[in-house]
Amino acid sequence: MKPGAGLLHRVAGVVPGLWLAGFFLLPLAFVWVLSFGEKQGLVAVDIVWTADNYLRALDPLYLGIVAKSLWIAALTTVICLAVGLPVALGIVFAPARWRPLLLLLVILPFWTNLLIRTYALIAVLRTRGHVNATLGWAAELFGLPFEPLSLLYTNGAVVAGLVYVHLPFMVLPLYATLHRLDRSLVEAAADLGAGHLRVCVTIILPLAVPGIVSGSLLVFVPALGSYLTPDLLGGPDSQMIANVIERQFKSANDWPFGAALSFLLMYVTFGALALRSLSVRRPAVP
Amino acid sequence: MRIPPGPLEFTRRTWIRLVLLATFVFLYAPIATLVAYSFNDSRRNIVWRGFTTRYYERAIANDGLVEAFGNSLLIALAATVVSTLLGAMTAYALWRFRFRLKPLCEGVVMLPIVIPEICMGVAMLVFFARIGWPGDLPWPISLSRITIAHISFCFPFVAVVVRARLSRFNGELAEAARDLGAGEWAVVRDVIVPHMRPGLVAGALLAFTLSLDDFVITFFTSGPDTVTFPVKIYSMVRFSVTPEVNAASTVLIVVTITVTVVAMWLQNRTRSGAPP
Amino acid sequence: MTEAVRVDGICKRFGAVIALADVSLRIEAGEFFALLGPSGCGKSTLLRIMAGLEHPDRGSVFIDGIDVGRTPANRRPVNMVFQSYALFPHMSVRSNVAYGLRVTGTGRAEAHERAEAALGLVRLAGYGERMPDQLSGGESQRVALARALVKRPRVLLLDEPLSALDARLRDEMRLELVSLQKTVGITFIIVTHDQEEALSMADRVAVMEAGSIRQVAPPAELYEAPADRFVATFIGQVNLFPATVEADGIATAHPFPGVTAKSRGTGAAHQAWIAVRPEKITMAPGGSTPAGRLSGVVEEVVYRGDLSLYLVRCMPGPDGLVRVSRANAARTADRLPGPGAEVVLDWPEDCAVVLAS
Repeated sequence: MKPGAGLLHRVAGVVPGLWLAGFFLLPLAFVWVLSFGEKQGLVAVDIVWTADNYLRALDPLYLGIVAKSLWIAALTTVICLAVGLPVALGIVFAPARWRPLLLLLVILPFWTNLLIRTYALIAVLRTRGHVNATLGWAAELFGLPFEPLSLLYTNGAVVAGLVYVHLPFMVLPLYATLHRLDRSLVEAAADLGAGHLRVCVTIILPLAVPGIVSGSLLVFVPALGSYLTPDLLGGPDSQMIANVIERQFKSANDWPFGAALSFLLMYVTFGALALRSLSVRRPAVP
Repeated sequence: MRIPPGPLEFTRRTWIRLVLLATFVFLYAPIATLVAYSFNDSRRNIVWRGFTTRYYERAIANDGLVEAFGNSLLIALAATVVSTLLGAMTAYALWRFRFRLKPLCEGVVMLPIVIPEICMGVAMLVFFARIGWPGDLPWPISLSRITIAHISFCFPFVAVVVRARLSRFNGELAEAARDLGAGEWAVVRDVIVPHMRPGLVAGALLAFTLSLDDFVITFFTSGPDTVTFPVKIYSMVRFSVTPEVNAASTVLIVVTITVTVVAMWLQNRTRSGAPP
Repeated sequence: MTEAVRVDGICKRFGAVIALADVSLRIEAGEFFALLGPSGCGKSTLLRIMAGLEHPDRGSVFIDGIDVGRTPANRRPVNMVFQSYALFPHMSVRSNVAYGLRVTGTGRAEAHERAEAALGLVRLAGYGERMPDQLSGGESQRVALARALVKRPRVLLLDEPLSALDARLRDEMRLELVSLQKTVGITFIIVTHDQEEALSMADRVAVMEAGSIRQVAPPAELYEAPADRFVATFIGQVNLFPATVEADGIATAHPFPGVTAKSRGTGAAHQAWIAVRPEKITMAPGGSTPAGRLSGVVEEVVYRGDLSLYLVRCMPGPDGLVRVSRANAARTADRLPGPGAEVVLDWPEDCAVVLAS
């Protein structure tokens, strides 16, 4: 071995480790400690190791927001799944020369800025936006009275925005799973008399479960913690956990409470991830 | 005669086609209208009033916007270089070595990917405030907070991509090189790094896009003098929908897509061309 | 006899590859029929077209005399045993077998009862609760058979059903498939690339090459009277001598005037071949009388256990080597000529076949 070779290898492990410790774990530790502190004045905080901040999160006001966040994230996941399954199915079984293009069309929005995509939705959904313009034009065509719908600044707009942003995260794992599916299973089911919808329900759906689980997680976790979409598309009652956290740090200036809420959000996230590792491990046991 | 679709021809089913079509319209119509209306000669920008590049001129004349754009590119470039290096090292170390706490280390590396962005942003805000990172540094060093935060959440993505690439490495190649007299360092340089290259390109591309795209974490680390493009757009959007935002957004879309296409093209060329 | 399956003028191409070029075939009810050919000859595609898993570009498929061209796979009265068996991994053996009954509206109790009966038929009674990943290769194969048979199809299609089994099990399953077919009385159409499999199981065999059928015949006829050079060389071993056919129908090999045969057709042909199977040739020590048709020197002896293959050099050059096989009736090797021995070769006139192409 050349002199210095061992050093090189140690550097490969140590440098990223130090970075992670200094610029990620340490900041998290600061927040964790802060979450047990007590607000004193405008910015000063005393670390008194109190659980009050966590108890305050149990206040019905905040519990309601947590419940609403969970509900919005779950609804987003379900819609993504309902749309993503046929889309993935359509791409997997498309003629080979179309498949790369269709996949690219699904991935491409991911490379476009999240903020810009959300902004684009505002223009579509607002009272004088494209959806209302189209509806108004159609109503006029049929001579019907038309009152522009208020689509923006509603919970529906938040869900639409979250689906819009997260759909690729559902389609891609579903595609990966269905792509590995043994096609002769589908043929065998058809050969045994199953129509295509029944093939979908009895063969494809059960075998796509790993993809459904990872896709759902990839949608649910970021949707739960999303800040921008409810902030820009939601109304006053569309606040999600992240918006409350942001307010503690940026306007309400109650850092300890914000820190506690951050950690609660992280614990929920870890809980969802743990559920997945359980569901992944289960089939291994006969 | 219309032949009924075969058992595998789901793509020929009408309902699947409708869902595919509706999905692509849903995904692309907003972006397409955004781009189209950046050329619309109307402030209310819902009725088409003719073609203009006025809003591009106005966007370029907006100093704050141009400065934010430059900041974003600079941060993204710096974050990409450092993240790619750190990510490659991480992937190599996790792939090459076996040690007792390895599963724990792997979990910790994944942490920045899985935790909500808002938590990461908050952590960075608290961190820089507590250690008293100076806030009045001269440009471009003033961008260091944002850049550090970006590196922290970008390099684990690079590590994951490169690690996946390394897992397909044929160990016999390294053994063959060693057998032919290459030392550890030569093996890394001549065999392993060339194998990692597609992963490095893909990882760097991902890091660049993530950094350019990020709003939430930047929102918590930027100050009044260190505004990035998404933060600037955000503050403009908060007030109203204006054609300048459309124009600026179009520019960013074009930049990201160009970078992506060029990188993919480069990667395809090296893959199909002669060995490097 | 009544017809079970008829295909008429089937054409199918995949991009630039022609998988089937105008294939027509008639398979009788109750027959054990084999589609034999090298890989890529289109035999699996033909089977899949019968099942409705592929659509032909041109031509029609009739099952029981009914044109099924627009009938989707799930409504055709045929069932298939897939090469990979395609057992649904998330269902028990019983659910797998009952699946075809359940999706066509049979009640749960009746479906399970019939599934048990079908499992009994393939000697897997009591396996119903197992999952597919707990089965051996042979067991999976039987489950696939039971699953396809439980619906009492008009025709059972088997796509290389034995190729995934090891050699011993394969021999066993061959006999079992034949007796199963006799028991259930269903038309079996099997696709295989293994000539031994086709010859030992099928009532009739269609030999396919490059998307077309070369010959359809019972196994013995295929072997003893091949239609052309491809069939002769694909099935078993054969010596081919280039020959010319005279107007009287007598073919004579070019460098070997002693090698003659009577052509089945009439009329002269410039180019033809005389085919002689190695085991039909007798071998006597050189100089013995009668002089025989050919004489030469043993160049190599290949020992194969039950028989030995002799490569006899009758002339220099690649065409001058004649293959002769002899059963190893005695235990020691000294009973027959070794390398370097001069031999004369002979065979009965009717053992030689004239092939026009």
